[in-house]
Amino acid sequence: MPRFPHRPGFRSDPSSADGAGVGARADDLTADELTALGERRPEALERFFDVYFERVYGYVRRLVKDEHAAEDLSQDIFMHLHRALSTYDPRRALRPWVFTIATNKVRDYWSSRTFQDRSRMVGDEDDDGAPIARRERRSEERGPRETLAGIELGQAVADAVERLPEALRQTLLLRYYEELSFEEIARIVDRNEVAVRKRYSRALLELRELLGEVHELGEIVEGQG
Amino acid sequence: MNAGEEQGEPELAPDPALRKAMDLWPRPVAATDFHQRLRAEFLDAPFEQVGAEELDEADLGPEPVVAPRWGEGALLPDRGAVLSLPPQSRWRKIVAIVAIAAAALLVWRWPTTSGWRVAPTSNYSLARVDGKEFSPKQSGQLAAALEPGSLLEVVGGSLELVLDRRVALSLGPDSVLRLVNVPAPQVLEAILIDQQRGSIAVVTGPEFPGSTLRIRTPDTEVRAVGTEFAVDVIAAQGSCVCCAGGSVQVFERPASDDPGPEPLPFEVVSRGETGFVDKAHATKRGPVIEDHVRPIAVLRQIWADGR
Repeated sequence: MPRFPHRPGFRSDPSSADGAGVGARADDLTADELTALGERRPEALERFFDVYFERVYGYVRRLVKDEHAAEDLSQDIFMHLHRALSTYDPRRALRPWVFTIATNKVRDYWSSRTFQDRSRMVGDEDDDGAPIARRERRSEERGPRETLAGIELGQAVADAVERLPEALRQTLLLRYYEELSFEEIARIVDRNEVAVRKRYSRALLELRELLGEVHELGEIVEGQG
Repeated sequence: MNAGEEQGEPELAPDPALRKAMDLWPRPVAATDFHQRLRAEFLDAPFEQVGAEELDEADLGPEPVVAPRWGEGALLPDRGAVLSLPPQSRWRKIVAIVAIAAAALLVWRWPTTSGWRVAPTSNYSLARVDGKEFSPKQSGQLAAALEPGSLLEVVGGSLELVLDRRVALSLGPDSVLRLVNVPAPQVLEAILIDQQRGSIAVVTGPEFPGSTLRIRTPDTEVRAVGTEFAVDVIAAQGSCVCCAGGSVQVFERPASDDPGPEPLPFEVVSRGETGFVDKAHATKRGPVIEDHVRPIAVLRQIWADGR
């Protein structure tokens, strides 16, 4: 089966002076590929899936830490995308479209009875995604410094991000890890761009606070490096 | 202080130490078998033509639609083309949409020939009837597909089903049950449900004809004497029967699917009690389990406001 050639990675937001992203973005689809995708040609579907699967799964899993829930949601998202391709306009940016669907599916999950029941019933050992009550309980039981001292720093970041309020967490993930522009995020979360910038700023401040003093963090980071 | 702060803008860049820390959180990677399975499913999925209304929930258009004011269509030929129909056509379109919505509402509320309807309180993500999948948008078709012998599976969320004015059921996530026997309203046979997995809560309705509802699990059979109860099949352990109103009779599971009366010994579980039947058919008692009877409040409301 013929495949579309892969393009080298690029950043969609050249004005990104805020340090967003960790090279997580690989590459997007070319205009030809987008047209083919709108026509749902097999090679375009294949390319789309290969480009977006890890991004979408990674985004969902960072928001919903339970592996099975993340798998269910990813499946739901991709099958929804498959159906929705009949309405996809290739002139539209693909990434915001994909992440809009992913974000809404996660939101639906958070508001579902399944999630609410699970959140009520599970104990601390469960690592499902993020009701505030649990976040508070966790932060009481395990302070950020203990976290930094006790486990790997990457996991400490994951734990700290989990403790952020939902809106800040989504914004941080979409901006920093998925490298969407503030304008794109604003459309996804249905807020204006200024509000999204403020959310991102607050997310960074709270994250830094949760992870401990900056100089202390710096020492640990140096130690890791 | 960085440049952003000097200009009175929020700080938008993580400091170097924070950035390094954030970069140490790797992107989670999916299990290979799940990745391959979903890839195959995605690439092999049949193409469905779906209406725009089905896709609204996901806000598929990140680009906002530009809606020109009356008469401005000509001034905005590129952006306003979608909504620049002449007023008469637009009214026709609005009337058509209202008519379609009314018809959809009628179909939603109209009792199906099967006697079942899906209550709007349901929040299931997917349900299957004899293997055929139904999304929440297809609730009317789901209800119509239910008939004696149907195997019903609820994949996520809860599904509230109402049978005429006889009984309302709330099926929990991952529930699997077979509607073994669903008699017509005037037929004095038992409604028999074989609950294979998951949870079911029951509140009988104003026209419930006495003790003719039976729920069989792998471990037991529950017959409704009272009005409100919940049954949870707990895999490999047994079945939990919580009674919130009236009382229920808990029997050993009969060998056959015959819905007729069988002279089996039974125990009575009364209001406020739970009976747990283990694999050895021993029954333990305790107070009701709140999580199990929680859906009953939803079902009560269905009868209360006639939804």
